[in-house]
Amino acid sequence: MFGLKGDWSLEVKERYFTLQDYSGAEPRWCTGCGDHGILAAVHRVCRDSQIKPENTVAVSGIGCSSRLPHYMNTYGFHGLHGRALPVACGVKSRRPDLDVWVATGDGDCFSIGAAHWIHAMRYNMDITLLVFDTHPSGALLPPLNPLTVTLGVTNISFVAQIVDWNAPLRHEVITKAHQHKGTSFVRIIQRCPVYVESIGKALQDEPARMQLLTHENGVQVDDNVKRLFPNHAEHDPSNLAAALAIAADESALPLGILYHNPDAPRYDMMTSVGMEMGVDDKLAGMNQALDHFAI
Amino acid sequence: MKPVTENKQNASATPGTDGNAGKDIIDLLRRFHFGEPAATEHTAKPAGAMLPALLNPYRDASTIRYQYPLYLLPPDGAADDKLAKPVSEHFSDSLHEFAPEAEDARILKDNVAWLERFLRQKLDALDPVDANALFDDAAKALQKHLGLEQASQEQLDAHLERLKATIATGGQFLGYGPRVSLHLMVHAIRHRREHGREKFRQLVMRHIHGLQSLLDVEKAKSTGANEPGSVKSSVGPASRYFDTGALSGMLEQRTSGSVKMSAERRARVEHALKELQSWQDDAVAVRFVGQMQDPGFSKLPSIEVIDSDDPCTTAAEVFKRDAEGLARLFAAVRIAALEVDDSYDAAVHDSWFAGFDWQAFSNEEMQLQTPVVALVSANYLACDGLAPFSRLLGSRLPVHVFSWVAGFLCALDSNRASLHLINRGTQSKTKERLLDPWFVASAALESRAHPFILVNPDAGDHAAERVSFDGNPQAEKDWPVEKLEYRSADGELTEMDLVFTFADYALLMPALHGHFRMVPAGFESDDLVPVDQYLDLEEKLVNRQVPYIWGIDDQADEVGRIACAGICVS
Ligand SMILES: Cc1ncc(C[n+]2csc(CCOP(=O)(O)OP(=O)(O)O)c2C)c(N)n1
Ligand code: SF4
Repeated sequence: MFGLKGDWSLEVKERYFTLQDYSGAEPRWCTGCGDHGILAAVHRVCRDSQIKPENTVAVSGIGCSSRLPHYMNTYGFHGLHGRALPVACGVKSRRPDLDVWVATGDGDCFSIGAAHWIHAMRYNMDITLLVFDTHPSGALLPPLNPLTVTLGVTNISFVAQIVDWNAPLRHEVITKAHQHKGTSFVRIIQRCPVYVESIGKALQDEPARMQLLTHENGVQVDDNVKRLFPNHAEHDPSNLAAALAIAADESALPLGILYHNPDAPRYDMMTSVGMEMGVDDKLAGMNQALDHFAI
Repeated sequence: MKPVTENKQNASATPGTDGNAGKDIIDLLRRFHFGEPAATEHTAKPAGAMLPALLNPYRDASTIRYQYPLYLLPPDGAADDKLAKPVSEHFSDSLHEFAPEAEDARILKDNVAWLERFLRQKLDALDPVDANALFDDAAKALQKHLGLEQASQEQLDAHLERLKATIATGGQFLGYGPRVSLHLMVHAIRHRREHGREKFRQLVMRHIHGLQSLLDVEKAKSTGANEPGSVKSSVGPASRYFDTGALSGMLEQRTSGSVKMSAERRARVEHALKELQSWQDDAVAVRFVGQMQDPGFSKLPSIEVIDSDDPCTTAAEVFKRDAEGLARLFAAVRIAALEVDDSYDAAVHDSWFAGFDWQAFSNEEMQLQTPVVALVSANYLACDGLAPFSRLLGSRLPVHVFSWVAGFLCALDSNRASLHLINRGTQSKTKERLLDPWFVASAALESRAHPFILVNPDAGDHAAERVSFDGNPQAEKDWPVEKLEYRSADGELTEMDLVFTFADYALLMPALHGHFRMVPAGFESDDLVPVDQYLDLEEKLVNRQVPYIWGIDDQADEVGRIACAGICVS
């Protein structure tokens, strides 16, 4: 109506945050480390969505990747090895208003933190979980396929996989993961030129070993990105069985969004019930609940 | 946009979605529709903040990007389609051009809406302002608002500078206000003038030179032309290097022509030359004639306001007065051309130039005349002014008559009288504005209450070619149809097609709310029909059915039906 154009909303930002507003200390990762690009992507996604730095928390465990909270100008929690997710879940359960990011490594998440990983996936709290995976073949640490395991967890809601070196794909997937309301599991195949250079190199030299998954409800990248991945396929992320089959197929490393269910129940919705209640109300509520067991 | 909800709350409580009570309600509404005072008293008027349902999303104009403010391009001879551009469009096109990638000039892109809002707020003044100066203010204010760290600040400064570079020197920003139509007219006139003026200036200079040369040749034929003094002056400063007396002696022997210019021709040439030399470009771009309620307007440069109780008559006189002066000038131009070409034939041309007046002006000449615009009220046109207006039309004088009015480019091209009727988006009798005036004015166009009709007698031989409705939204339909998104009583997000008619527009005028009555929430009846369908009813059904529109007030967030009085739809 009124001949208004598509961009007719005059959305004015009363506070505006630049990339600088999300940048913390100078990163100390090695030169050529994939973590730099992932950090840049996180800054960009925060800037794009203009989340308030004071309403953002970055939580991590132990490892190179777990240094990420230091490099964010937000709240942060550099935790214990394998314990990033329990801390993040704790934050989210009491402060559902905060935007919670988790940075964890493959050892931190799939090995020492494996039990927390499984249960955090099941809780499906609104958390963006980035797993920086330097050992995608599972050669060194846990002999498991993180994608099939994650997809097999009850109540899973978002599973994606990317490589750190493709910026448009990285940005697209982390954006979608952040927009998703629930736990977004993003496994990032990360280059570590110091210890496992060959893993990143092999994939970069032979892009046909990866398969780009695109879909109107999943990843949409332009032709320039597609050209870098000669092997690509359409995959509907609402199809869990197809996602599992793709994840289990070891002939190619799938990239993109494997699974997305925006309707899975979220535990943070349940834990935040009654947050506004005073002590007396809570006591009364507990008494009432316990009275059910009165004999 | 938050979808509204369909009002069904009282559906079960409403006495009579069926049965006698239902019959009572429709009877009451029908009686109201036919103007029965008792029924009018027993039914509820819409609340003051009631808007047609389709306009609900536009209540807060500060969050909506629309065509204003405008960026007016300076009249530097640019083509007509470059007269003006919405500021938002100009910014977005420019950013697209110099920062095509999403990350280029990102801070500026993310905050261009802030800039636009700043400009809009500053442009609540009535007149256009210098675009570059205001942009500087906006840029400074944006930096202050954002409070960025040094590096980002410098980046933003550089990009603001690039955006500013897209604004031409002399460009202006114009906000939407009561004077907007006049300003746009003046702006369009200034553009038109600039096109022809420069060409004409050069033509006059050429003819002055041509006529002067003719007279110089004539002077050279006289004996006095070879006197040492004349020779000295004709040679110029270099004459001090030689003996002008000797030169004068030599010149005496050369032939200097024997046939003298006739006295009449000489007089004609001298007269034309004087006329051309005395011409001064009119600094006034347009003369407005009438009762200007708004004294500030007459103070603006390049505008002359001539006070008059009878604008049509005075405008015609002013036009003729100006035209007389121009007729002398244009005659001089034409005579100069003929004389320089030595093709002036007194037998043919004398009589023609004796009767030369504005009716003989060429199109280009006509465009050089300062436009005269009679400012009239609709009342004047309908009553006292009708006779002078008719006389003006009959006279074929190219005087514009402006009755708060749009779309005058074609009229400026035309050499006939033109009438512009302008809707200024005023909402009568409202303490607080329900809608921004631009939306009210646009709703007038959208609803066909004030349709765009262009009658251009020069557009063709047939009536159909001369009348155009093309400027109307969805011109191919009887009424524009728009989608209304709402949440039904059971919570489903639903869409319905709604027509937007003059009855919806009437609801925008609280003074006309007496012609509307609320239909009880949830009440349904086959005899309630939307206005557009009512207008298509067969004669025999008209007495039975009650037309309605959909409305919504600012509190309820619920759409409800509003019955219309007969006077609204007859
Ligand atoms: C309880 C405990 N066990 C072992 C360690 C030693 N440790 C430090 S980092 C690390 C491996 C981290 O690897 P990963 O999670 O893959 O992160 P990356 O360094 O690859 O980013 C280990 C085992 C520790 N810090 N705490
Ligand atoms: S050791 Fe590897 S993972 Fe750690 S910072 Fe260096 S390159 Fe990165």
